[in-house]
Amino acid sequence: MKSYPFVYLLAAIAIASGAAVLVGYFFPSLAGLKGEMLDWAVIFTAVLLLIGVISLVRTHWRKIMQDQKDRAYSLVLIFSFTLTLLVAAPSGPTSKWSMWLYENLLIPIESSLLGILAVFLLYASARLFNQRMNIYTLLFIGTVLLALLGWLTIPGVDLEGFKDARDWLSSVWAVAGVRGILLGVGLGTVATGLRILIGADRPYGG
Amino acid sequence: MSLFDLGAADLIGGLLGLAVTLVVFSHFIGDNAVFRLVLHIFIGMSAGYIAVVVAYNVLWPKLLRPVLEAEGWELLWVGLPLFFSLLLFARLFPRYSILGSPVLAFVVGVGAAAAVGGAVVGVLFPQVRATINLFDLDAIRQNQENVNLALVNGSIILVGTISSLAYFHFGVRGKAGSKTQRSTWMEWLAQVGQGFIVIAFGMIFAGIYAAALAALIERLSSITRFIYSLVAGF
Amino acid sequence: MEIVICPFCGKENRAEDETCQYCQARLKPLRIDPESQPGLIGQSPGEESQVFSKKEGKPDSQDGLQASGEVTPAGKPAVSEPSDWLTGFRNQITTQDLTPGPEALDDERQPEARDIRQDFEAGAMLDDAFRSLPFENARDNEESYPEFLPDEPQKAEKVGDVAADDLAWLRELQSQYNEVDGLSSAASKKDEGWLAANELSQDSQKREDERVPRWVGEISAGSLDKQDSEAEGGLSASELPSWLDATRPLATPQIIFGMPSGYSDQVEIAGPLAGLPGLLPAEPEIALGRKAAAYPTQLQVSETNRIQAEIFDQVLQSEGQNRPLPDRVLVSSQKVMRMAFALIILFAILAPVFSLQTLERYPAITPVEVLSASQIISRIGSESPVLIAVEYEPGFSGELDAALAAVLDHLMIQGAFLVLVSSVPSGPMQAEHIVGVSNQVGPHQYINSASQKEYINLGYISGGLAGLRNFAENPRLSNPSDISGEPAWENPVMVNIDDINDFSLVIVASENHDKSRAWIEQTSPLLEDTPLIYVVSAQSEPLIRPFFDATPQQVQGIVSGVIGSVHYGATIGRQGIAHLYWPSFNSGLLAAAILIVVGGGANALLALTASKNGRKPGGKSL
Repeated sequence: MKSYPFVYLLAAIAIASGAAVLVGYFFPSLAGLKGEMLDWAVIFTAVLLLIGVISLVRTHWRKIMQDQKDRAYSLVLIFSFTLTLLVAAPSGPTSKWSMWLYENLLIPIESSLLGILAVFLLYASARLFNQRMNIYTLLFIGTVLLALLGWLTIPGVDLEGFKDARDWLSSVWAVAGVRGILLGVGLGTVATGLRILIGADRPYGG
Repeated sequence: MSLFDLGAADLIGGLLGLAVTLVVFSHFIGDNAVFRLVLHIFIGMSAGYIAVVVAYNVLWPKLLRPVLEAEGWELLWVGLPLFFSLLLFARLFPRYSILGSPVLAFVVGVGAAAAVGGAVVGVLFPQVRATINLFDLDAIRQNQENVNLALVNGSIILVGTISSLAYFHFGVRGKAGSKTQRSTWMEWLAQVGQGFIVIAFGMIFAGIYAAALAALIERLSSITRFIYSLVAGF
Repeated sequence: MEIVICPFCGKENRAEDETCQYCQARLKPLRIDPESQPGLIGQSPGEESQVFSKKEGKPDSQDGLQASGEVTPAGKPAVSEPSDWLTGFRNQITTQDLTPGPEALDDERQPEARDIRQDFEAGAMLDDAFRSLPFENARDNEESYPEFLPDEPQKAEKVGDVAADDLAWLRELQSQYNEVDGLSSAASKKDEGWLAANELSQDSQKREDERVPRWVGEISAGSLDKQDSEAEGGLSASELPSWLDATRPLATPQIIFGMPSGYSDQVEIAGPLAGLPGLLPAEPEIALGRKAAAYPTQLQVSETNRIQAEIFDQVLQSEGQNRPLPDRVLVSSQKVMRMAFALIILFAILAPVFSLQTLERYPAITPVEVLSASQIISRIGSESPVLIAVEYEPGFSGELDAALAAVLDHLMIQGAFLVLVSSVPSGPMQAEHIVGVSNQVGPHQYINSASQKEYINLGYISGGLAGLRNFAENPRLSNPSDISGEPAWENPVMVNIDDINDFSLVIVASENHDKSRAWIEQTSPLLEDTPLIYVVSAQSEPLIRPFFDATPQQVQGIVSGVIGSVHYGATIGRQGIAHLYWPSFNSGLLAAAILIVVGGGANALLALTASKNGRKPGGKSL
């Protein structure tokens, strides 16, 4: 159990470092200190990323050692991780064989996963009327249809009207909604960040 | 390209790509063990690339090489990030994870400040200014636009922006004995905002389908090209 | 062997025992022969009480009361010799007219003003009763003279002179007790078994009547109740105040306060007070074996609580019950429809590949954001450093490779020096991949070697927002070397770059809105003259559009997805990967529109039908 002085110390570190960086945003004279702190944060974030990878491998290793269910998948994961390390580590991640592995395994797998999403999205949109039938559903499906028809080109069919409608919808109505979302996200980010900078939220374990 | 033009590496690579693509497409039928196997291969490879990139791009040039190349008092300064990074590794052990908490606090503080500064300077001020400038008649005339149409569009954008913000406002003051809900005018405004948000999401949904369709086309074209090259080679 | 249960301690004794071998209580009631001389109450004629015999030094077991439990034949009670002090009592009583006549009683005691109970409790009745007892002169035996008896010498009649009327007072008292307490006469009748043996003669009865005060005989249970109710100020005994009645539990337990029921008609059968009814037991009540008070065991719940408890009980019972699993459908209707959708889409995509009827007509009008991007890139000079942030995942290679390749093709034609960077861990590899793809699109081969560097891959920017800000302010410090570890900033093109504004152009290729917004947040305030162009996925275009439409613009150009790439190619007069995808893409869009209309319409019809039939939506669907 952490003691109160230690909690206060953690909060003090977070507040001090955050305040120094924030002041540096508005006062260029403190840019040097801000730059050093940002650089250290970059290093520590990379270390944390590495710790995440180590934790992932350790979890699956334990699964194998403890004969848990689905340990075969963990074995495959460990094998592919090790293979990637052996191929990419010696010559670099952009070496010939590393890129071969990347282009012939990683890209096909991810692209295929995104590709099958097209069918599931269509199927879900077709079933939407059965799930929820209200004005917003009609508006949603209508917008999707208008966007699709606005992109289409069919020989012999004049779809310019759909294109103009789609452009107007995209540049005015969609922008209005997105701008409100952007402002909301920005306000939320500021609120959350300030809560951390004043010590109200302590996600670092305080 | 014929089969003979394909090197062994390309042939094996093409076969691998074909195999994993077909396995992933088998998910149309249903979830199966081979599909999960391919997923775990993907996760393992991603983790491996992350580790290599981080080591090559951050740990070696910014953490280890400076310590090796530093001399004298400079060693103390460049050794500090290494020392703190080693403390971070204590997070792997629950018993000693507390040692890495100060470093974590530092990272969180810096990240929060960067987020706040970027949101204020990069999003809030510019977007609010952009909404105000929709009604700048000089700018409209300078862009040779129809003033009336520009004003109508600007009004729609203004109403949409405000009502979209209102949709996410859920703060109400509770009154004893009455149902806690937003006031009537706020409720109406939120309904209007919901309409604008639905339109935006409809456009985004169409874009997601377009992206997924492009990925599907790329995969099918790769497969057909490979099969064609195999067939043409024979 | 017969067993008898002791009424006091509850232990088992032999049938032939007269007293309990554990607590010495009488097991068999005493019998009184009515024709013989009545002795003390409870004493068999000719027998002495156990207690008195002890004091007299006489044996107790032999001369005790008659131990037979049988009722002696009527009129023949056995009467034992009274003790000396009782004999003295009797003698004293007989010398005086102890019981005043009814007239005297009328004068002295007015029934209206006095309560019979209060008289009894005060001992007046007891005194009178004892005075009427045919005791011997107790003064003769001072040492054994009970102190509670009056000091006045009482002449007692001889035992033999006391007729049955001596017991009549007892009966009278007994009846009064029964009336006052409202008890049934069953108990009194039970005890009259031995009393019946001492039935008084009519003469003695008459004399007894004369001796009993008239006011005593006039008092009845009803009048007592009436007096009680009058004393309580108008409320009858059976009516309780409403507030008191509300506190009464639903099932009133049989809690006995005060004297337990049956006590008033129980006659003491042992000890010096043997024969007297209504006495407090010598033993503590706790030692008496009597049936415990019956408290209600039914839980007092309201109807609502009971129903809720039943529902909860049903839920708990159903927890442990095995519910039959629904039959696993190998091929459900949803799976069939999904397969049908997949086949239609695949057919639409592959039809142009196999040279079936295609929709090969490119979009004509170029959007303003694509046109703007094209114009900016057209102004880039040779060897100008262009920063390209490859921020998309490998999965979006299909779409963004097509879009970025068209832009990179244009840049390569312009001869720009490409500086590739990424804040995504897989970005460095993706950047190398897209350069290779772009090299296949046009008549150019960008190489990154020791001898020839036409582009440089700075690798990965760690740290998220903080890392982007750090790179934007000081790219040399952020990424001092390239992805392979070689020094990156010694190139002549890179020497003059101190911050992001020193680049000629910044291009961000991303499918993720968060990453796109992060670059705008952290870099746009520092980009004064340097334009910012976004090559985005079609899903991110609506989210980046507000930055393009803003005044002043934060983003100067947008190329989104396959369609944007087709438009971009049209602006520079070149065809790229997007033009290869376009026929299949167009067919896929048309198939999607048809499927949404047909499928959505069918499901809408099902939903309307379900709502008309009273079913909820979300049930049966295609």
